Amino acid sequence: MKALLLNSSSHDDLNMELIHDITKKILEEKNFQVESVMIEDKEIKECRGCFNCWLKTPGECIHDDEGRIITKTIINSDVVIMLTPVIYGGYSSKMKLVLDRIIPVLLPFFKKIKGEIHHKKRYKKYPKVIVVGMMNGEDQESSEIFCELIKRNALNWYNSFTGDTIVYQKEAKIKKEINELFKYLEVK
Amino acid sequence: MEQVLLINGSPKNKNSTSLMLGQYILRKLSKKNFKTDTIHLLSMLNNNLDEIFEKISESDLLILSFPLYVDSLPSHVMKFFEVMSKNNLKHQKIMAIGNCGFPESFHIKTALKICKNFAEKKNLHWIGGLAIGAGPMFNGRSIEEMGFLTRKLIQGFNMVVLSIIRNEEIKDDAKILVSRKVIPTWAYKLIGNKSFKKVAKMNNIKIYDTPYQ
Ligand SMILES: Cc1cc2nc3c(=O)[nH]c(=O)nc-3n(C[C@H](O)[C@H](O)[C@H](O)COP(=O)(O)O)c2cc1C
Repeated sequence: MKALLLNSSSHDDLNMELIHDITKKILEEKNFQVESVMIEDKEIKECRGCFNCWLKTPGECIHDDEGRIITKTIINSDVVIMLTPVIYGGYSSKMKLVLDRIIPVLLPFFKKIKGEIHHKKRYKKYPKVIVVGMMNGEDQESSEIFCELIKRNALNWYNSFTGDTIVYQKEAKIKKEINELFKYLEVK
Repeated sequence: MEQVLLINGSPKNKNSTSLMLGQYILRKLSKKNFKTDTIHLLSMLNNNLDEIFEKISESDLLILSFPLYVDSLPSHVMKFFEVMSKNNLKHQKIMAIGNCGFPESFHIKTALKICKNFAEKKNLHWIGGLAIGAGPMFNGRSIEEMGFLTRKLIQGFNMVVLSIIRNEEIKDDAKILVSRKVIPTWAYKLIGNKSFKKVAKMNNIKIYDTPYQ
């Protein structure tokens, strides 16, 4: 089983480094083959909204950069963990850079799901995605918005998204909270 | 004279629905003696950060207009928030306009909450957020060029303009009017799916291709 661990914080963010290391260890204990990516180190251009990835080169973005490689890795992973600082209730810009670039793994076609319009799948298999939103202090407003966002993502990505925010704290507590999130992997 | 700055959050710059919706408001305001200006956020963020700060500090009202990307704001708009979070702002007024590809405008709710949260944390004066569905349908056309389809939308936007002129917050009635469905979901789905197939044929591509799996 392959796991991709995406980290969108910066190298000097030591709190996130600890969360990253804890997560990596848990994954390895579960016998995942883990690939860690520091998004900061990758050259990824912004989506420019051209829809070439749907209507000119189906499934592939116009930007020939590491965004393409990450998209390919995502769709070929069993599990993707996204570690992101929570920014006003949203993903950090670097994590969002990756997310905006993954729409080629869906088809342009609309489909009604539970009364809402969404896109059809391009691929047979999609990874399970666990989002960990890191906050350096309590902020209920941002936390609630972030959890709502993950729910919206889940609806658009065939229920493959789950996650929560965690406030930076003692190592043992972080471990417990991440283990809690990983229970999602056991559900079939 | 009050200064209004439209911040276009679409990476498509000139050809975007975000710009079109924002400029409708600007046109009306400039007739009422407001001074208006527009910046295209993506190109400016990468090249000219100081100019962004300068324009923002000169403005009394910021209008952030953006396309919905993966249920939230495009990456460069999040970057804008990250950059601004380290800067002091005066107590400007701010509003946001989100448009999305699906026909239902409720998809944009969460993104507007993020904008409002940013505004409040930065001590800006949030005057309200607008959510508009079926964005690609405009395809560069202004809301005035769409005939009867956009009657309610225009009515809502005119109420927004009036609130700005009166220095009030955006009324709930206006928010409801602009967020109403411009065309029914079934029709949007049908027309959309048909046009994707047509373009695929024209471009001679395999639209269902699976290059990565
Ligand atoms: C990367 C990407 C992600 C998108 N995600 C969504 C989405 O989650 N929900 C939605 O309704 N539309 C989504 N859209 C569609 C855009 O919001 C829509 O095309 C919009 O009208 C573009 O506005 P603009 O012309 O101002 O750029 C997405 C488009 C792109 C390119």
